[in-house]
Amino acid sequence: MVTTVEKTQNRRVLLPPPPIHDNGWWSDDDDPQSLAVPSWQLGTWLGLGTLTVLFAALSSAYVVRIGGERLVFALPPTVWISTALIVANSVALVCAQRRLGRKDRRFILWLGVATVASLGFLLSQLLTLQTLASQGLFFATNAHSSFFYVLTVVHAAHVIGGMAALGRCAYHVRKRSAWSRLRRALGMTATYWHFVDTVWLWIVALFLWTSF
Amino acid sequence: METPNIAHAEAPVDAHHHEPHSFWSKYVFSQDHKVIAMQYMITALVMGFIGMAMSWIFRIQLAWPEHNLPFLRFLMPTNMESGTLQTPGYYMLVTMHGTIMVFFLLTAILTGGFGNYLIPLQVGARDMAFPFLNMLSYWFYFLSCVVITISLFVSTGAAAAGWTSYPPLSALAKATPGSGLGQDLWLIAIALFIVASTMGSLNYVTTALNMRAKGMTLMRMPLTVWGIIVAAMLGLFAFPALFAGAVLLLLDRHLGTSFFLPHLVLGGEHIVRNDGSPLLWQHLFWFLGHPEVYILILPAMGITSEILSNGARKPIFGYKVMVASIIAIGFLSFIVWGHHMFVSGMNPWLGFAFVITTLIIAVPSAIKTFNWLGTLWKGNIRFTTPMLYAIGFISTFVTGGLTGLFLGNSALDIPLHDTYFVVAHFHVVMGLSSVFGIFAGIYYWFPKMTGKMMSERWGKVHFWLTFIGSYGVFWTMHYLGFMGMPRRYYSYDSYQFLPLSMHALQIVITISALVVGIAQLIFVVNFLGSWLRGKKAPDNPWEATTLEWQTSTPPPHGNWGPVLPVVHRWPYDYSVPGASADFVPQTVPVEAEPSGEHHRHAVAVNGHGHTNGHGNGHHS
Ligand code: HEM
Ligand SMILES: [Cu+2]
Repeated sequence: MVTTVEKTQNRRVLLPPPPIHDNGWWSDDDDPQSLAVPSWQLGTWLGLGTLTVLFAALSSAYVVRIGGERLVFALPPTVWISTALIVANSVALVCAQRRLGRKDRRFILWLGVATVASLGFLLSQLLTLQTLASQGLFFATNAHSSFFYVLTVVHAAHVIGGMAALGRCAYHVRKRSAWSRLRRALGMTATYWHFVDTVWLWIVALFLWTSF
Repeated sequence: METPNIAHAEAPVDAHHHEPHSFWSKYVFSQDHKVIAMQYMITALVMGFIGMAMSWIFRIQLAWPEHNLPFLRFLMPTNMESGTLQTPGYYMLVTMHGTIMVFFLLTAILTGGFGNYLIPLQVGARDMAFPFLNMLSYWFYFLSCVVITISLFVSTGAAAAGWTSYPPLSALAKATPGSGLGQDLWLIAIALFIVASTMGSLNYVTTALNMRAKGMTLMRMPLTVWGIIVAAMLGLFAFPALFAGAVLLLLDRHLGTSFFLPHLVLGGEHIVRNDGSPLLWQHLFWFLGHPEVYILILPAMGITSEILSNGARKPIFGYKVMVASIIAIGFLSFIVWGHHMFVSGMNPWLGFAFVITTLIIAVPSAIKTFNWLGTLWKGNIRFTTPMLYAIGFISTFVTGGLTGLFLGNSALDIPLHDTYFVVAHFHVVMGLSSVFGIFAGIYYWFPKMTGKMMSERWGKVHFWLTFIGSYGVFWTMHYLGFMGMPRRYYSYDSYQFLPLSMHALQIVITISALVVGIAQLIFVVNFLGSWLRGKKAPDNPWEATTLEWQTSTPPPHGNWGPVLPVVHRWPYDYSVPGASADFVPQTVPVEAEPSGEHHRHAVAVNGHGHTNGHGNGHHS
């Protein structure tokens, strides 16, 4: 039993406890009117919705532009290192959130792991682009390389944004902010990073798909 | 009249709402939604006037070709050498006019202006969910205005590829003078604008969904709020496509990529690119472009609904259906963009699909129209200036909607595309309807914003001149379109198939446009004059039900004083049988006054509704 309670508590800490809310979206009784999610989270989701459309627009532009042509170069092996690192990043953030939920200060360790993973990701991305350049594939060489550069560079810009979010968490740690504050900061950061990491997987899938 | 008693929830003043005191934090880098709203509105109106002045210049060219306007030499030295408008200058003016009007005036004022002002006040919040982001939104918008204005003064001139900026014209710096630096600045300004709009929209949606006062269920939100938040969602999910397009186009221009550029020959010179697709831009542009036009109409629809109900002293007809129509229009607007591309050589079956989705949009639009008429029906109408503009909105929306049905049929669109018929269609439905909604809103909420009343007499003069004048402009254009007069032409001298009488119509249009222009000067004088020395406005001059009218005028920082309002009814309790006045504010409990929200309330309370002295002076 205890473990179940603990489990629910752990899950709860990802968000501050939702306000009591049983009136549904469309009913008329007099409870305070808000959705079951806190504003910062609603705002984050809406923002991620916007970014989703941005990447969807770029990806569909790619698909339309190449019109069924196969990818004209092999994905450099460093892409797989990037992929491993980005998955590690997401996992580290989940672990950090778990620890934070238990008010265990070792969550800082996991934050560190996430930061290192994202730095490593940027580095391996640099190597990937260098490999392409050394094969004579630049921004303007062909439609595939153009879209590869655009998608990965726009994605990398969002990775850098995510590092700023990690920096904000670090700031709260240093300032010894309240647990609730930390949870909020980390919650937002983790949500954002999971999104950025998913977009990476999507990009890899897209180019794998065009290679066959 | 005295303010009706308001039931309050005991809620402490939010600690975040310390009132700022320095000039900079109060008026410039303010985080108060009301100040940001005013900043947005005034900047947008200034941009709108610039856009309108541009239209006078090119209208003069169309009516009196190569007429000499010596004073313009100082305004546009590069394109008005001898005092006559040159071809590149004409295209720059048309492009900038469209861009400024669509983005920098209409989008900015409807979401940034009205959205900012009304959402917290109408849902009973103290401010936006993210005030800092809200401030950033305005300053990004301001920056984008600065960039687009600067682009008018660069040596090669402003962008000249139309507000839709189709490549290859917009992609090759050498294509026309305006395709140079001006086009880069255009793309940058648009990208900045998108960032601004996104930050604003996040706020509008989150605030309306998450910060409503006790009792303000979603189905008790005023239709204005519904219109604005659905528009904001369209912005959130459509603008990124144009952002992507802008990035790719900048790359095509500067890094030699070929997203949009095919192999071209320009002036004998081969431009070697890898089969880019100009149509790709059209898809990205119109994926935003069509939702964009609904970003401009949905808030105006909301404002109109609000004012019609107030002016007719009747509940809005079919509130729930109105909400459903707004959502349906918002959703459908994402799947019709192809109707702007019927002549692009798309597969006819695809075109057919877009015809169907386009015509389906007419259904919720027609429902809304009938509901507005139903609201007016047998109403005890007060013909105030805001009410006149709201009625004007219905008129232009019907006129423009009907021509939309013509264009929505690809068979009819193919001959009419790129003629003045399209220009007429979108100006009536987007230009006029949105602008009428905006004027209705300005005349209606001006007292709340400034604490002063606007002059009704000059307001009516403004309305009638604008209404008649703009029909003079755009009704006439439909005939030019039917005659096959192409749009975006600098001069029509060498098109023999156009009868000479066409030219008379051009003159009618230009004169009407100048009349409308003068009417707007009356508006400016009324606006500024009333603000400075208008009659002092009471808290609730229109005897309205919604929350913003139940606080003081202008509302204090934090909007509600120490306690938040509590909502007990929907926003359209006008002329409720058995009530003591012909309107019952949303803050009055149903035990005190009957409500028309559900018939059960009306029936249950009818018996003793009168005996309750919950008063507002009009008790008889
Ligand atoms: C029943 C409703 C409507 C239908 C069926 C409709 C249909 C169309 C079609 C088919 C076109 C393309 C014409 C062409 O380029 O050949 C068009 C253009 C346009 N419509 Fe509508 N429309 C409707 C309502 C609206 C509304 C409500 C707005 C704005 C608030 C609007 C704004 C525009 C604009 C701005 C353009 C032209 C853009 C350009 O080419 O520069 N329309 N409409
Ligand atoms: Cu459209």
